[in-house]
Amino acid sequence: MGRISGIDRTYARNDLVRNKVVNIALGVVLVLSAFLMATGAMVTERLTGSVGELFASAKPPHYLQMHKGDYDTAALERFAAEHPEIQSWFVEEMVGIDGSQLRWERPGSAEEGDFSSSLIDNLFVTQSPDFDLLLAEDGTAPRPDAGQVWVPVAYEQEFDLQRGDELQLPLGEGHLSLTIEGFVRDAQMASSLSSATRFVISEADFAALEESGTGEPEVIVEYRLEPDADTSAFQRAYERDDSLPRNGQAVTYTMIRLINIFSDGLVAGALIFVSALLILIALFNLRFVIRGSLEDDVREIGALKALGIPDREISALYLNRYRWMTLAACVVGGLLALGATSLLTRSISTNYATAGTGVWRFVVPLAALALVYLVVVGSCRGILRRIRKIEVVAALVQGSVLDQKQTRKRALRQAKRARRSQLKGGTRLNARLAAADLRSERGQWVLVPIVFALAAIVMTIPLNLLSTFSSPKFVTYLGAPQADLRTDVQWSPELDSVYQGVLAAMRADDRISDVRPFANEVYEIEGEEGWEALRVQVGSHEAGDIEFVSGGSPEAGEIAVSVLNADKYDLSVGDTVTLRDGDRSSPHRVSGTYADVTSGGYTAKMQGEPAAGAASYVIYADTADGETPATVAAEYDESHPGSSTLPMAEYVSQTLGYVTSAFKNAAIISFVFALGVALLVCTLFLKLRLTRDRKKMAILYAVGFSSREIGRQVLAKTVCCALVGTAVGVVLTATVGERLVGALLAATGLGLDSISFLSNPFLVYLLYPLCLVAAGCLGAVVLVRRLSRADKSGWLRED
Amino acid sequence: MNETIDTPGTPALEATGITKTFFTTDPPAQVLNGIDLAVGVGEFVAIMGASGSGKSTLLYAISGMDRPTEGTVLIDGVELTSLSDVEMAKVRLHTMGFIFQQAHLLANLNIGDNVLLPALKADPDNAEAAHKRVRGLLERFAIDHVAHHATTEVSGGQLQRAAICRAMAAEPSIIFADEPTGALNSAMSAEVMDSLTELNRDGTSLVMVTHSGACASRADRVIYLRDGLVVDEIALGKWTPEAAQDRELTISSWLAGQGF
Repeated sequence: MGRISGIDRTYARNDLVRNKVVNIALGVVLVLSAFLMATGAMVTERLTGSVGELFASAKPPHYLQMHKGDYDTAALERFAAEHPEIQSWFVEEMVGIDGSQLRWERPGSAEEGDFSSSLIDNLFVTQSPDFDLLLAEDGTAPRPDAGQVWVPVAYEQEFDLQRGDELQLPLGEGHLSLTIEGFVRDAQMASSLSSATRFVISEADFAALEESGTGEPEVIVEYRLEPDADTSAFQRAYERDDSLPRNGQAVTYTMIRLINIFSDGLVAGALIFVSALLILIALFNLRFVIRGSLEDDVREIGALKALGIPDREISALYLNRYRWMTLAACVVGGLLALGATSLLTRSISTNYATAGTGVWRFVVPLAALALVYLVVVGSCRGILRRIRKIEVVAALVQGSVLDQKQTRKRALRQAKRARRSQLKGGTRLNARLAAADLRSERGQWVLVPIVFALAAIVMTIPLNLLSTFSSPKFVTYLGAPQADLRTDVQWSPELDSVYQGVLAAMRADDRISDVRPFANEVYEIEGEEGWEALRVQVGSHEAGDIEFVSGGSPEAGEIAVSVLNADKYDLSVGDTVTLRDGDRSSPHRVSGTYADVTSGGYTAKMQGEPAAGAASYVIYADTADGETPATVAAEYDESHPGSSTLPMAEYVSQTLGYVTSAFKNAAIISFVFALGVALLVCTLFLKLRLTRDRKKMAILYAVGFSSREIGRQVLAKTVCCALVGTAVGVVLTATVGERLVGALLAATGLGLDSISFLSNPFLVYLLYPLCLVAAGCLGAVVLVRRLSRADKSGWLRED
Repeated sequence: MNETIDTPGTPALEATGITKTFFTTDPPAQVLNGIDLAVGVGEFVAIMGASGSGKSTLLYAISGMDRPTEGTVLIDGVELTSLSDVEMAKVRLHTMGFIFQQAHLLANLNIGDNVLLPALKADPDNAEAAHKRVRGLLERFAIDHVAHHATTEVSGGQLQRAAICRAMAAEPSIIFADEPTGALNSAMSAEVMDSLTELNRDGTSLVMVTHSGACASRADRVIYLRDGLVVDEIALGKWTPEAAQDRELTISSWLAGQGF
């Protein structure tokens, strides 16, 4: 490179001045690619770091088993003694209180409220002894004095609670007033996918609660295992032992971690995916720009070759330009990512912990940026290999980058095309000329549909995911039928009477139709190691209620199981499974499997009448035409204490609210970037294309076409390519994209198998893509408007 | 200094006070300094001058391809400088034809389509007539056998004849030619000049910029530009093959007098 090392700076400078718009557009696309890649990498690093930090301090259990009712402490002690892999264990006692019975008020102000709008279980506990700690912001495990309470951080945000606020709990006939001392993070129940949240109170207050019979007592048996212990084997051993408490959900450490990482991991994954597509767009652009530059400079290249300058050094003249541009883009993108990451990870820091500044905090984003740099520069190097093929005589005499073979091939192609008239009739000449151009220069114009297809995917996949997670119909993936209202009865001392009360009221209410009650009952299923607890929802399951991955709704004598249960018990449709209810056991045929992310994903459904004495009840109902679900739900919530009625949209928003709100940012970023990239690339492409087509446009002008007509031809070509590309992108999203996302979600192991996009087709498949086309065409319109002022006679005189 | 040139008969083109300044340079470059030029109906005028004298700039300024900085241009009684983009396009289509140094045919159309394009554009509702006219032109200029050839498959002379056919396709009243033989060898130049002379003989007015004395000798009148001004002109009358040699000698000595 030595001999012409001075020239490359001149070349780069001249190119920057000559192709200002093109280089700026290219630079911005590269900056966006680097920015998203670095942001995605940093969010991933912060998320794993923060979750890791919280896990390291809070030490969540490796295995836990929930249980309601009496249990045999001696059996637990015996089990612990028989298992040396247990490092530590304890039984956490909890009191669950319905959100509507929990009131808060701010002393000295009129501000007050309750937690009735929250669907998740409110569990009151004392601080754990040495693991599964609930941590304050400074990482310490608070042990409140009598009269104090530490509230979950999620509630701090949701209800805008402050330190010093008063929290009132029901206590027998009266109430217990506690002062909020602070907010705690909960490794076990941090995720919004968790169905419960824990409040820490003093031993004395907890004893008072228990004694008063307030709420519903529940326990979690928690185990911390030796580092090399096999958790699955441990779980099997636990479930094999009939004497141990196990009528609730069992959760492993891996599952806790997975659920915690899911929502923010989804955001990071989306950002990296979008970044990969943007890099692809940048590479296509680079290919177009570099090839164009070689065509423009072919005579100089020919001269340099004639002087004996090696191809490698000529190539370096161009490569250095793109090396510097990519490096600068990576630096700018990296700096922008720093700001964006702190915005995107704010919720991570709040819910988990602020991870320490380790070496990975620097290595991960730098590695991501290095990857972008290497991919881009490597591709440029590949494109510049074309210089080797340029022949001196062809370059100097004909100004052609093609060698003899390529020239012959092109001439043959042209000759073949010339045999056919492109004009035929006299009408729609502008359209015919535009079409002829697209046919003969498809190799150039193909950039536009490719970029628009990729931009459409960048735009529609995150939007589809967002609308899927926000859709009220998404409950069909949560193992629940689509309905307007959902009533939960689970934390009332008079569970059955509250349930019967709500059910009777709903059935008598003209505003409500299609009331479907379900009872959550605990059965036993024969697993590998013996009888295990199985939570079954019993009721009238109608066909089409929920989405089945395979099979369908259960009839009498049948059972449908969630994907995770099907995997766990190795069940598929048509298999027969024996269920035990007390002393009675009966065979059930598996009618279908369905996706479910609630209750840890281990659920089942059976046909039957909901019987009294169930662990909890759920009632689904629709509202009559003209009735607002929110109003009806609020009324029932108020008039039936001990039950919680919510409009289904609210239920979904609460269950997946954290996922949705985190993902909203990623979807907005993708939407804006897709529009921006469409605009930039369209401008870049047309700027170069119009420069190369000057002579052609001047000829048309001389022949009698107005500037406006010539501009319309350019616009028609652009719109046509943009529409085709966008349509291809949208179709790919709806087909391959849906399958890809489904496979990725299935791979998370959360039981979200075979997901279909639930979106408003008008918005996602029509309006948003049209915005993309419009953004692209905006650049075209601006450039085309300049045509009328251009000196066309000068274009004809250009060499 | 404005030069007024008397023209025989009714003017097909009448340009008055034409100036052209390019503001893209610093300081701005005034290339035309106030030229008056009239071209009679059926007249063949050649514009000569040294490189940079403003010949092509004048041609494009009076033909509507470019707008003069000052001055007016009347073609068939229509004042060009005040026309809109669309109106100007109509004038270029129906009234004018252009021939350039390079043939400047559209590479993605075959020879026939290149000629057909202005014919169809001028009369879109009568495609059959346009096709017929184009066939006639191609036959007349002996390139009908290459009508379905690509622009890369024919000779330079055939390309330039195709360009002449294209200029004639919409039956204009005046043709502007910018060094139409500049890129051709002498045999092909003669071919093209024969074609242009024939056109003029049929009544089409012609304004041609050229460096070549031989080509200029075909014109009825030759004007000479220097520093953006018309400094001299010579009237030769209609060309005949017999008088060709004498006219070339006359032009040569006249040009020598201009310091060309």
